[in-house]
Order: sequence, then structure tokens, then C-alpha cells
Amino acid sequence: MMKQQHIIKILDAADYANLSANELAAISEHVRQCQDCGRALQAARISSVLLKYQNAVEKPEPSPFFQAKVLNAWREKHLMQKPLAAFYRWWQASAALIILMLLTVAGLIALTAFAPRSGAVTVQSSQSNFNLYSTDAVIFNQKPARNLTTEQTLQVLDNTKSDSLKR
Amino acid sequence: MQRAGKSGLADDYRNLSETELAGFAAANDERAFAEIVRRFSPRVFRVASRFFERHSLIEEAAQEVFLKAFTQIGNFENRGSLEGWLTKIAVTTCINLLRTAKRQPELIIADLSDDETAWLEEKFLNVSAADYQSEEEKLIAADLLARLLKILPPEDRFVLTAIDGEGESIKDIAEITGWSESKVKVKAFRARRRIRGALEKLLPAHLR
Repeated sequence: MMKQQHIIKILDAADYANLSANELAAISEHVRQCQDCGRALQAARISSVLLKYQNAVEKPEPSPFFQAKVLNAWREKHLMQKPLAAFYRWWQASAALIILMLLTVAGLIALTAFAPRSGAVTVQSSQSNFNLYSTDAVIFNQKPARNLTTEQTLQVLDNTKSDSLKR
Repeated sequence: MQRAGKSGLADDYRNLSETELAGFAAANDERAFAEIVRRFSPRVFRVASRFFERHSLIEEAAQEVFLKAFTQIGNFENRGSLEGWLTKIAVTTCINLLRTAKRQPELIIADLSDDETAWLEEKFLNVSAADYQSEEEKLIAADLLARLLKILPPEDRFVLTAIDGEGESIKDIAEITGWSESKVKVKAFRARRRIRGALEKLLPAHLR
């Protein structure tokens, strides 16, 4: 029976080293007439031998620091699960960056606040020769009704208008 | 538990049974975690070394295994041993890690070193000499095996090395992995066929 059947399935179903004497005898019988199965048999034998060599290589052992490493990783993981602790860790990691960003924003705000004031001073000083209550002064200084009543302002405007008409 | 100094405490934990240890660990007792790592890391390393070659990867996988185990320790129901439970976690963790890694290309004859080719030729001609190999030849064989195993999917690789390499039973593997025995058999069958096929291709042409 075995003479007609290829033996490849038998070789794949079990480790070559665990084949029974009967199976081996039948395989040998078949292989004499079948070159393909002969090659498969050789490969199966080598594979079986190779697998026994896997223990020849020294098995890796945990390093002396492995225990500490695992526990540290566990602590970190555990800490991350607690929201407050997570916030604390986040703050520790990014505090410097956040403070720097806040300082930059504060600086920008300060600059924005001071820059227009210095511009106004320039305008005011350049207009110092103008009539304090002229239309230009009222408009450029943008300080309406600081010292003038509405009536006074209207009078100044009227005067300016009549001056320009005279010209 | 008696608490008498740091070393005394460590000794106390060393004397705990697996069930007690799991109980303390479930209550987030860090010393119990430490003892679990001390007691079972050689086993976890051994399992991980069936999947990975480089020591750094083995250690990384082992760490992942313990972190997963600590997170799930509450689910350990004392039905089996703590070691068996950890082994299961180790197998699934390593398989998952390997699944995400790149698949290895097929090994070709040109990849073999001279030593490996000579070893194969010698084995092809005289397999019975296996027991008389020198240490150096054993290492060549182990290296060749490691490279051959890379062509297998991680699950098949684990099954083949455990059953044909270390002589574990199909039943044990089914228990560790949670697969059915027939699934284990199919995986072993498929792995043997692929390794045999790869070896047939690797055998020098004049010996085929």
C-alpha cells in the first residue's frame, strides 16, 4: 500500500524523531522508488535534527536590573491612570514651556499697550504749535470735551469754517 | 504577614504561595509584583526567546508581559497555576508583537554562510552523526534554525518549536494558547511542511 502512496503527509503529521519503527520501514520502502519523497524525507530528518538544536544556544536570562525596570514601568503606567498624578506629571514635563509662553504673551500685551501711547505723544508734540482748540487738535488728539464744553467746541469749528471761507 | 525589616519582608514574599502572591498583587502590593517578576521572569524569558532572537526584544516583550499581567491580575482565578497563566499571557503578547512586525522574506540558498551550507551537506549525507556535533556546529545549526523559523507565522513557529523542539504535548500547547487540539495539530502540520519545503530548496543542487 505504502509503495503507491507518497509519504509527505506522514512526514508533516509528526516529528520525524517520533515516527514508529513500522512507519519508518514503510517510508524507507517507498523512498527507494520515489525520488521526490526521498528528498522530502531528508529535509524532514534535517528539520527534526535542527529543532533539537534550538536548546544548544544559551537561553537569555533576565538582567539583574530587569525587576527594577519592570517595577518602574509599572509605577509610571499606574501614575498615568490617576488623573491628578497625570496632571502633575504633565505639569512637570511642560511647566518650563508653558511659563515661557505666558511670559511671551505678557510681553506682547505690554508692547501693545505702550506702543500707541508713545505714538500719541509724538502726534501731540508735533501739534504743540497748533491752536489747542483747533479742529485738527480736537480730531488728532481724540480727546473730546477734555477742557471744552460742547458749545465751545462748536464755536471753534464755526470759527475755523469762517476763517477758511474768508481765505 | 510579619514585617521585620526589608530583607525579612522580601523573604516573607519569597515564601508565599502562588495564590497568596496573586492575592497581594491584586491588592496592588508592589512587593508582590516584585516577587512575581523575580520568580517567573526566567520562564517568561524562555517563552519570549521562542519568538525573538535579540536580547533587547526578548526583554521588551517580557516587560510587556508583566505589565499586562499586573493589569489583569484581578482576573486570575486560581484555576491553574500562576506560571501557566503568565505563560498564556506571554504567548499571546509575543504573537501580537510579532504580528505587528514586518514579515521576514523567504530564506534563499544565497543567504546561507559557508558553514551553514557545509553543515547542511554533512547532515544530508549523515544525519545519524547528530549526536557527535561539536559546540561550534551546534551553534551553526541553531543559527540556521533561527533563520528558517523566521519564514513561519509566529503562532506556527511557537507550536513547532514547542512540540518538535522541546517535546511538549499537543494538549499542553492547546491549554497554554487556549486553542483546540485540532488547531494546534493543523498549525504543527503546516509549520513542518513549510520548514521541510524551505530545507528542500536550500539543499545543494548536487545533493537533491
